[in-house]
Amino acid sequence: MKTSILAGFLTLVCSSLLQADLSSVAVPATMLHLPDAGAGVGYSGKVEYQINALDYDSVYVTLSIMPASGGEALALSEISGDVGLIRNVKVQRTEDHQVFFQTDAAQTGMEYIARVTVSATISAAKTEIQSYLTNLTKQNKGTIMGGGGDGFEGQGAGQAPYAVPEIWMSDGPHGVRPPQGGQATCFPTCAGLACTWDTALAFLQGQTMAEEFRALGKNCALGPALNLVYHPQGGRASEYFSEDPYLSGRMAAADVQGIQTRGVIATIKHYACNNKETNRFNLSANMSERSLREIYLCNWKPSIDVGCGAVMGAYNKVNHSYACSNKYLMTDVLRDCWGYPSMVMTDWGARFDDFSSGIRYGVDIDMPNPDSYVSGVIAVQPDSIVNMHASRILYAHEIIGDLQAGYNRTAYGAALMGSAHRQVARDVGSAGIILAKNVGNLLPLPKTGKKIAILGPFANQCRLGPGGSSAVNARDRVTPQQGITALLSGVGAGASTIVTDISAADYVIVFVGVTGENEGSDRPNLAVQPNDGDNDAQTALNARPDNTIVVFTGGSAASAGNWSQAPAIVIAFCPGQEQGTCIADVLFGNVNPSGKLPVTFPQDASQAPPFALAGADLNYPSSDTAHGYFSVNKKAQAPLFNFGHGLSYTTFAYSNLQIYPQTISAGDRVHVRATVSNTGSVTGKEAVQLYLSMPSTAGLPVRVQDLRGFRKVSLNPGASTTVDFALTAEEMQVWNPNGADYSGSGAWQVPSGTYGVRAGTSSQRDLQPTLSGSFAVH
Amino acid sequence: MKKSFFRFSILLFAAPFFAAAVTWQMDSAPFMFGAESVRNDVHARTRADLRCSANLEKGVVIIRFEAPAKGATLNIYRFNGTLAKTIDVRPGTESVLWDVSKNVPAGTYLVSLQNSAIGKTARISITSQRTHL
Repeated sequence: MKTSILAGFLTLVCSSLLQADLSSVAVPATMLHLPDAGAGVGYSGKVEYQINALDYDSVYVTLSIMPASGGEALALSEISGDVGLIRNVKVQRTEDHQVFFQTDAAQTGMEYIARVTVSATISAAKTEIQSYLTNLTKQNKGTIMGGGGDGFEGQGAGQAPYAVPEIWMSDGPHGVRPPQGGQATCFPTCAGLACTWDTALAFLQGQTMAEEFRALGKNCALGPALNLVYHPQGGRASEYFSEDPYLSGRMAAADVQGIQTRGVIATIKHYACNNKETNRFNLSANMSERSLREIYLCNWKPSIDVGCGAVMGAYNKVNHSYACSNKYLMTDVLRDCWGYPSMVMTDWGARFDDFSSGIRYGVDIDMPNPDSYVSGVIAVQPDSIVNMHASRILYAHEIIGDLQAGYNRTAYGAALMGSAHRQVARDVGSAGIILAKNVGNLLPLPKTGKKIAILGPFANQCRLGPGGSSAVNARDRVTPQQGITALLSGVGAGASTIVTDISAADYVIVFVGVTGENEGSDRPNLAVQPNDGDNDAQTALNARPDNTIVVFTGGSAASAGNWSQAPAIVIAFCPGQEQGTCIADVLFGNVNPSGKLPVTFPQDASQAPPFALAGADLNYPSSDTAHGYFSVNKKAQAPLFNFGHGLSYTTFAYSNLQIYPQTISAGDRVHVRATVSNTGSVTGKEAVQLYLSMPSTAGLPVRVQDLRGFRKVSLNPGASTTVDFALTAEEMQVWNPNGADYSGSGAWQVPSGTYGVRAGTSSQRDLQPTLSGSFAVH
Repeated sequence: MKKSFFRFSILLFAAPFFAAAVTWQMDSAPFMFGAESVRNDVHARTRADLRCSANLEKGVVIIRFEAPAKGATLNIYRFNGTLAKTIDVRPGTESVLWDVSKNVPAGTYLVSLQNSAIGKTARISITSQRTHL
């Protein structure tokens, strides 16, 4: 086997000339900085290097800062950028790379040199892929480009030792939905997960969920779902993380990494702009190239950067070309700009502009069709095209290692729906519960001595998410009423009691929500409907105006109504099968709420973007207005609840904002540091948010602010900690379309001017605590 | 399963140790912290005008340079300073091939292009472990 692999590989690679070299190393003088203790920055700088015509797929880069006169390299306290393993290096082009470093070991006045070492090789994975391409027939390669089996398998093909196994796929983004039926743990939806603002929990949920995929014999998860929440009524809004590309991108990347640690291919979907379900097979999502690059595509890149194994093309068109055959999306951006090396599959039955362009620009696997793509490919395409697609599919196999003998697709059987997984669902669910309003510290409720009435149609429903592909059949479900009952039953003597007569109750909890969220159809209403709890909220407010607590359930935001008049509001975005326990824990103070909203709650439809359910296309506003908090900020509107909003049972204070350097050249980075203190009486967690306000540039109107960092910290009463952010050029740039829009001729640009920096507790700029400052780019 | 993931980790993060690898190293021009103290040009840039590219599968290293107006000598030294190879460079030549397919052990080499007017040096490391493929 090994000998034949080597022989096949050498035969192939010897036909092409592999070249690479390191052609320059530069230390920009303007990006060398002396220490600033207040900002927590040591001697710092940037090293630029250039690699030419690099054909190797595995490149490892190290940086040393050394005395020019010789001697030991300095200990670096921080190093980031294009260092370590550089993935997805493109071929036949010059590449400029950059590394940022910090050190406390340097001395002012001494000369140093930066030493860059580049080690390049062809990875064993690529070697093996080449061997397969050599030994598989064209029919074999075409076969693996189709679906099969029960409609959720990428087909296998070939003979041992070059047999390609099937890819065993299953929905969905927050739990397994086996095509043949079956049960699994239901975790919070991506929206519920995003409410945690905690990438560590996203990783944990992904990892835990992937164990269930393996337990059920699946090695490709059709999730996470990564479109932005453009409008709350979008049928799949609760499957998506957030309205914000930065939060979405980071949370999804952590989720992807967690999934793939368990030998399961993660599939980010639905690329791209799948923001409306009505007429989804025909509608075109129309927007400027700038909107695409700055908002609706950039949330995908972090998952690509961490090595996501699969991308699913969307049903819809983008600027009048079907996503699955859209050259701009699939080739120009995904492959050429981001260097994505692995496979793309269609959404099930997705359409192409025409079959030829689908093959040339688009997807590698046409799901779930077993032969339409295959026959098309084999009939008309040259070997080079077939090999291109097959190599991407084989790359995904390499990610999970199932080309190797001994790979066990079914593992973790004992973990399926086990107590450890339930605990993860509970921990993530609790961390995502949001305290949106708490007038007079009405919450937490007393566990003893009170009578509590529970109203609303969702008190006895465990709301797991929308219907369709993300529907998980959870065996274990805890409704809010069950969760509250169980909590109070554990209190013992004198426990608060649940009563049915609200006139006899000290407190009334009303469970309201939104309905109609489904794959294939959109929510018909932005508001909470009368029968979905809004009438119950009014009833409770009439009886106990100061002691009514509303728990909002559902997948995404709603406009104001009776429910929003309650003095205390808790928001639960489909927090998984343990949600009843999670909600009860927050209501009664077992868990201090720390969730933050990943979307804006508009006051009414005028604060939401255009979203006519009828009509062929969805025409997006300009990039400076867009949707969500971008839109309400631009229009100076006060929404019901702001993006990033979330209260706690404790209080936090921010102090000592440090921004260093105050002035930089384009391409340099800026360090932002702030101290966060718990000034209350209980332990709590705070998601510190960093917003950047770009300078306005002629012809390029900008959004009021963009999220550019977040850190979740846990603090005991009286404790303080420091949070650090490093703003890079990538986070300061705008897309300059450079003439005709959507021409592909634009470029990223870091504008000169003054940048506003704000560390705050929400996107509401005047809500305390918040700290503001600025820096300049010249 | 853990074995599978471990294997992939090895592929991605330690791939240079499992396949034919080539290493380049380059130093920047000297610099000091504090912009005004940087020597040379404002970017303290070192550019390679003598470049070595490897095609280890073909067993050759391609050495490129600005064509000398008159003949030059390309000496290749082992890291311990002993001469490994000498190649005569004709006027106008922009590249030469160094056959490393036989009797060239893995290691770091210094490549020096010299005549009476020029003197350029580059460094290249070769790690050929094809038996590990």
